[in-house]
Amino acid sequence: MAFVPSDRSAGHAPTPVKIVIAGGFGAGKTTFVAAISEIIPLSTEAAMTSVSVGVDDNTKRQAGKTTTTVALDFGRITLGTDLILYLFGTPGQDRFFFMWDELVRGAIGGVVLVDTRRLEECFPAVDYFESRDLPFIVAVNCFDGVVEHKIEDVREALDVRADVPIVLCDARGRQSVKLALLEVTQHAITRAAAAHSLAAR
Amino acid sequence: MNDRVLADLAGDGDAPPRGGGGNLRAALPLDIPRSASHDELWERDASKPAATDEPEPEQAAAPTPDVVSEALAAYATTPPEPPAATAPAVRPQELGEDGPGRLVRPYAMTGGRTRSTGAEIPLEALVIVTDEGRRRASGLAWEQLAIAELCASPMSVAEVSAHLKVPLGVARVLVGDMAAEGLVEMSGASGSEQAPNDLNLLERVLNGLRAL
Repeated sequence: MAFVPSDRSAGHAPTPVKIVIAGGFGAGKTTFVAAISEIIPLSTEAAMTSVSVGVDDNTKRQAGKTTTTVALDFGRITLGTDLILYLFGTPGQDRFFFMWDELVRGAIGGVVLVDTRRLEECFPAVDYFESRDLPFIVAVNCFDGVVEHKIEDVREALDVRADVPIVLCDARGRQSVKLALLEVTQHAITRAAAAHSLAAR
Repeated sequence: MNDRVLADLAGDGDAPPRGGGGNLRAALPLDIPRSASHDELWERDASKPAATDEPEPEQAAAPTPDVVSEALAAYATTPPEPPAATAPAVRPQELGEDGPGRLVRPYAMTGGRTRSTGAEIPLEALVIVTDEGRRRASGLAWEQLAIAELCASPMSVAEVSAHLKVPLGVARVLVGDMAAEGLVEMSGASGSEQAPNDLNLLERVLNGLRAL
């Protein structure tokens, strides 16, 4: 094994950043990550605290905190020599409203992938990102390139703030995914710049 | 007869050390006398390399009556393990679903701990082997060696977990321990809290994405 110069320090190590990809089950999160990741998306088991919201089809409601082991899928994009971007998909079980605190901590932003045929499945993600004040965009996944709803209709249905960008996206297309990631990063910059100028006043 | 005693010892109704149920017990080597403290037992399991020249198999094949009676006596007087003195209880699902097929139970590598000494390491924190880690490579336990080799180039904790096929919690503990020993160093292990507001960093991400 070759030795590296001993003056190598953490200061020269790349900085990791992450974007969280959320959405309902089957909205295309895994496809989205795979479309742009430089590695075949990996999976890891993680324990997460969740609140069961009792959406089982019987009427008895179960509420309470539990810890569940979930599979986290993620991809990686090296941005130059000093930056590595990770894309983490949120766990897809819609039976749980996950406390994604750990996933979201330190994230630069979030993408909520929406399948307009099952719009309601992304509500928890929108609620969660809003509650954590995480900059996010909504990406309407156009399966087979079909746009079934107008963007403004989606905005109204999701009831997201006017400044939350909504884009059309083909989760299978690298370019399309790249544009969505650019959009969320730009949105994060806009938000951060606004916060800075507010603080400077 | 002796085998039967050992089997009885191993299969008694006592709660398994880390709550793993049947799978866990199946994964434990039955040749270790029950008199060994649990920690010792897990320690041994954890530090056991692929090839070992410990004479345990022979012991199991022909334990002397003394060993058995000692084990029995020790077992009878050994108080039950204080609950979760060093480790929070590990839920069975965290141990993975693949049963006894795994050679070493994931949390056996960590001595049953689910927390490292350091602060909680973010999923995306990058791990890089240090010169110290390279130098000591030949003396490392296999899981540490695997991490040292994996992290020759920067690799996130999540990736370490995925490549080693261990739960994230285990990867965190292993990496945290190695960092404490100076075998690896980490980038983004603490400062990511402020990342969302770091305009300079965000601009770099934007430019990096554009250049893709």
